[in-house]
Amino acid sequence: MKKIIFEFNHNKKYKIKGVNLEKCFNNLIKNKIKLKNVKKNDDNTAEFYINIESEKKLKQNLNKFNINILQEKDFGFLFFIKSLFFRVGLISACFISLVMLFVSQMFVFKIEIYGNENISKNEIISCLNNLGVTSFTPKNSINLNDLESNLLESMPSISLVSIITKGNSLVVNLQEKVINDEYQNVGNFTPLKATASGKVKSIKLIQGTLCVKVGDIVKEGDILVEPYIIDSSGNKKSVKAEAEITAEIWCEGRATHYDNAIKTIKTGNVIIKDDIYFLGLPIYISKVEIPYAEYEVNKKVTNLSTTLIPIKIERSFIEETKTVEENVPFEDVKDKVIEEAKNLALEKAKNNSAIDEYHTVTSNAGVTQVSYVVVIVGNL
Amino acid sequence: MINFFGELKKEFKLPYVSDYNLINITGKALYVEGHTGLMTLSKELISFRVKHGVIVVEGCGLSLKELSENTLCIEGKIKKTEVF
Repeated sequence: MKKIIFEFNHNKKYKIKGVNLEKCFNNLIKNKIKLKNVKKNDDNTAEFYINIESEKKLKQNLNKFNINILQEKDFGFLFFIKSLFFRVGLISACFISLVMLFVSQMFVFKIEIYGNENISKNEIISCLNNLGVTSFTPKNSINLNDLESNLLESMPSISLVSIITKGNSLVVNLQEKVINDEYQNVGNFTPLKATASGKVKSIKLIQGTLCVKVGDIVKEGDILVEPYIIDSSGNKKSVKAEAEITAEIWCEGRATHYDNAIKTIKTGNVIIKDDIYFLGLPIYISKVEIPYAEYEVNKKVTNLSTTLIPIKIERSFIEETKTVEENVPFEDVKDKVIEEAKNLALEKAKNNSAIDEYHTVTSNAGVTQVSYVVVIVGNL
Repeated sequence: MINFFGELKKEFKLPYVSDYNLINITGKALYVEGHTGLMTLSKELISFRVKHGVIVVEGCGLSLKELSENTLCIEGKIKKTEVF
């Protein structure tokens, strides 16, 4: 049965009722009507399938034998296709869909942008909007060549642009301009300056005009390379100053000693004072009297509650201090002061191996200054 | 293409032209060539005329899968086939 229903050809199922059905069937097959799936029931009814082409002949023969047709039903793929042409709703839905599809193909719904790195998509889209291209813009109103040239004019940071329409999308492929320092920053170059003081040992000039030579002594901040070159025609041309200059760098650390010094020392006496604040306003202020003539105050603020009530406790530590005059000759602390200066110099040397080191001591009116120099080889 | 009935007749040395050809396939289908008309059709019995005789097929749930001028194909559980 299933085979008949799903056959390609248009078949028709009949249910008939009458007497002497066998004689009728014999007559049908004599008239070249091929019957399929013939079933006879006990109530003088029979069911069978025929090809639609034999329908006319069948009905004529059934009339001859006074046989009633109880049921007629169509099957087959061809019948399904034929029946589609009579389904108004379906046909109109298909037609409307096609029309909508056709109409939708006429508009740009989406703008796709590729190739942008520094320029944001929003910037490009707003520029396209200004040029009259937005979502729902009819495709035929967009002249792609004009749009490309207008976009290039509107956005100077774009070097190349290609715009195509693909389906409902406007695809923008662009290339951004590559900034070349030599041409973009003419006149804005700075000279290469020494980062430390030292004696120049070797020079490898990459670009610019050299201001020093091997053996020169330079101070920190001295110009090493000027940011220009003079070409064969004598014209001055701005370039980025670049060079690899190695030098014996003098890393200097200084320490000063005063023979007579006034120092403030803590006696160890402390008074603690607590003040409480709510929303920055004082709600309790401790009225402790400070009996010290000289003192230092350290404050520590603690939030009593961080969530609901913003109450802060400010605890003040009042420490008594005393001023004393010390008289220490330089000779007594000489090694300590030199060590202090050396440590400062080594700190500047930054783990570079020292090739030489020395120190100088200068004294004047009770003030002694120690200068410790560590010589290293490094890049200026 | 092999003519099944032709090959069998050749094997059994039977005349090529005969009244009818009939083949029972696993008791579930019966194919007949050369019938001359349907006599009885029911779910338990199908009988048809052949040249010089009548063939009666008995079974359960019988139906005619195909019925044309010369051939017919019976489908169902075939229990007995008699030639008169």
